[in-house]
Amino acid sequence: MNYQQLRTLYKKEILDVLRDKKTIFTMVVLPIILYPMLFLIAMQVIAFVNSQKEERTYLIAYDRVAEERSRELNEWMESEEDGLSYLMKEVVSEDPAGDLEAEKIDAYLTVREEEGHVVYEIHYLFSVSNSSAAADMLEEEIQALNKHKAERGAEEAGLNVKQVLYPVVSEKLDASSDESALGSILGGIVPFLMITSILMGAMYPAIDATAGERERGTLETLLTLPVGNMELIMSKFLSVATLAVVSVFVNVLSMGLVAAYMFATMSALSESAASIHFTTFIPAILIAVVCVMAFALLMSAVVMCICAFARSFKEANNYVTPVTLVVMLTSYIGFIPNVELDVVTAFIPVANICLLLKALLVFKYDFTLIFIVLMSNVLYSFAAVRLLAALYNSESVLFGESMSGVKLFERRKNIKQGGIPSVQEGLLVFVIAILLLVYLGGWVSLKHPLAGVFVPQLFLALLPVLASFYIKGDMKRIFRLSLPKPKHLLGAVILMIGSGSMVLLLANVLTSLFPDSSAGVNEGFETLLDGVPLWGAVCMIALLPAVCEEIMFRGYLLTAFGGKMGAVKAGMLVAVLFGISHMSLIRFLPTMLLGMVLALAAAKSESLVTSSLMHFMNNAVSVFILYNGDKLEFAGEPGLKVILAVLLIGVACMAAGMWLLDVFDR
Amino acid sequence: MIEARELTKQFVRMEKKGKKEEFFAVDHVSFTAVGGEILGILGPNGAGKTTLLRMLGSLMEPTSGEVVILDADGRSITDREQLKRRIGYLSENTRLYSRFSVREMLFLFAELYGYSREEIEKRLEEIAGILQMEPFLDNRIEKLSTGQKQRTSIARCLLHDPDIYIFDEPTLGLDIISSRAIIDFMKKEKQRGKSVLYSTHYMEEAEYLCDRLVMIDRGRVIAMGTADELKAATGTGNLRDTFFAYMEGGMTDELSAAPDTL
Repeated sequence: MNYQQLRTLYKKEILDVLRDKKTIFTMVVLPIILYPMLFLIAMQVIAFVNSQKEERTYLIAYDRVAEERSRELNEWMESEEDGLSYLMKEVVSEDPAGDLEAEKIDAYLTVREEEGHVVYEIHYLFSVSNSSAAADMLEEEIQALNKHKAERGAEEAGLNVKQVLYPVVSEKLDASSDESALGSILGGIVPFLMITSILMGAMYPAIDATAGERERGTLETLLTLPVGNMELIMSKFLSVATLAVVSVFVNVLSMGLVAAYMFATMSALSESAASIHFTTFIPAILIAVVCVMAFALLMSAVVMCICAFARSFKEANNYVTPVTLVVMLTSYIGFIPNVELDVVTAFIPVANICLLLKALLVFKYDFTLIFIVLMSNVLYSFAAVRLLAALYNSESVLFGESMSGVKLFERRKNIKQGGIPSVQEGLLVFVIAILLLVYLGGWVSLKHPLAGVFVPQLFLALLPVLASFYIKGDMKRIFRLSLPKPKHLLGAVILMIGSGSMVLLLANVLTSLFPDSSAGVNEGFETLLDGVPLWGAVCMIALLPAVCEEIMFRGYLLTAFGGKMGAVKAGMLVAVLFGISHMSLIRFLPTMLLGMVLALAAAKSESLVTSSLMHFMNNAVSVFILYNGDKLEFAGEPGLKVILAVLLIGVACMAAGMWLLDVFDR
Repeated sequence: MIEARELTKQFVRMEKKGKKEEFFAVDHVSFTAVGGEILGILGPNGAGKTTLLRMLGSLMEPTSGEVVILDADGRSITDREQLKRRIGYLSENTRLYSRFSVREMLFLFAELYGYSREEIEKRLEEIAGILQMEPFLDNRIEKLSTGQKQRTSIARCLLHDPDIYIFDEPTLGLDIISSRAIIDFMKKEKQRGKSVLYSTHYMEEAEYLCDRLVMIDRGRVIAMGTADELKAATGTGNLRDTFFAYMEGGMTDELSAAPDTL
């Protein structure tokens, strides 16, 4: 890395973006104006609504209420005795239900009596705010009347009012500090605003530095310079990240000023607000700043990756919109009660920062989790920058070649015979398959649980076959439709025995780490398969997936990805997608590993038969255990010796299997 | 001196009806431009001129073949960044940073070539003198006239005093006075012993300026020689007719299928 060049390029990028008045506006002026404006508007609205509520006279009608009852209630409401000062007026209505519907009245009362017990029924419209306000007021008045009458009755009977009417009462005492109470109020909104402002702060400079540069035609000028790709990327990335961080500071400052003003006015009014010490927030703020910066790096890199494909500002804006939506929706997680930062959520981008900020606001400092959040953000940014560098190395991206490689969108008669699907096509078909799995699979399962097992499987096989048929693909090549050599088949079986035992070990470890999760899966299958004979279960859970999933993953996807990215990367990616498609966090790792082994076997033997056989073996063993689990005797917890033995056999079998599959051949 | 040795670039292009086809934008092209020579590169739109020049300027990686530029010791340079230091590249696509002033932009670029502050200031003064840029040196580039912009672009190519210039249609859309600045510049640099690769659509310019011409069609060299040699070979009286004689037949469909960014 040439640091002098990097510095010059960085200077150039920052200067270039700052010279644009639009940037200054979105980065500095907008947040400074926005928050006070929002605050003022909110205050005005609240004040307006409150004054409306207090000053308005609500119209109430009595329907089928005995005159005596309505008089009693009316007098009660007008008297000072009730302690309430709501303005309500009795009106006469011929058709109270119709008048309520037409909003001529705010509510009407009917009454029914049950053994000396009077029930006032308040009819109102939940959706009309005046009506529901009137209903709340009526409810309060009637409760007050109830209390009043009960107390007077008890007194008249010569009873101790407190003992008889209120023998048990509760009082709520909030033990949380005023600061953390404030934090929990802010826990939803602050992360949301923060993440949105980072996104906005990163977005404009990112578009400007990528698509903007291309649109203005200076990218090629830049490329004539003796500057390395990495310097180019890093300078762009760092400048965008800097501007994102600056915009965060501007936003936080503006937000802070509004908050300070708010509390200054509130503390004049209420004691609890005055007692808040803002210094208690300082450590939290410091941690937050560091983590938010890491997040700003991530957002910058992600937005830049997307914009790298765009040829113009407008196009970039279109590409970024879905990302904005996803990020903003994810940042709503702070508003969901009971979702907290833990080992799992700390790894989810966007959500982890959101929940971390939320936790910090109530002074929860779990340094392990903070570390995970920080590291995962740094790691994701690193990956995104690597991707960005790769994109910027590609001439098709730099010189704006068409990125479309999806033959599925072309007219069939224009497609040449005998190709293989592209990477984009593979991903598209996978996404469609997953959506079908979720929606169609879910719907079928509701109607008929057993069909829910095999209908999605059929789609998993049907989709790639149809897609390949449409592009007039070379079916034999795409789905590896050839018989394997006997040697390879034998290797596959041995490899499966080895990797199967390894995966089993891993599953055991995972189960002991997360004991609750795997039981659910097995129980689900047990109830599902209740009354199904063993051979039926083998067909459904072992044979069908062994064929269908292989057609999709080791057939279609492996070929699609392998065309462009090389066998190893393709195998890995297919394995990850295979893991994802099982839609269970706990099963992800074992499934992914299984996927890798299957991909290896399919690729090396050039036949889908091998991987199908292996897949069948794997699933059949599970079915067998499920059916005969009670008959199998396990000698307690497996000891270290057993584990080591299994490990050894596993490794040996895997090595032997791979050897037979010619993995080690050059 | 710069040499193209069997340069080849293969692209995948989308045909009219969405059919995909692999094709050679540049197909095994070889030639040499020696020091003190202006080599004209002629060809219709989509013939592969820009792609060829991009490869020669190290902006694009060839599918096969190589660009040979020798270092002081007579060895072929392989490092892309070192290659770029030897080349001044100007095309219709190398626009300027419009938000900077001329001085700011040239300063930044010179810094990227690794010059010190003092060196840059001296060099800027020199170049501004040669190209008569003093009046607008501190104006923002977006406020400049087309001719002033073009002179700024030339200044950019001159910054690092390269010994090879690659000019891809530099006079396109310029008036006579502006394009003369470029033509004069190229002549001057030629006299200084530099090699110039110059692609253009203007036959008169090519004939007047270039020592030798390379005619390219569909990525292939179809003729090479001095203007007189080419005219004699086709039996035509002027270069325009010579061009048509070489391009006969192949031109019309190429025009419509030309992917203009490639």
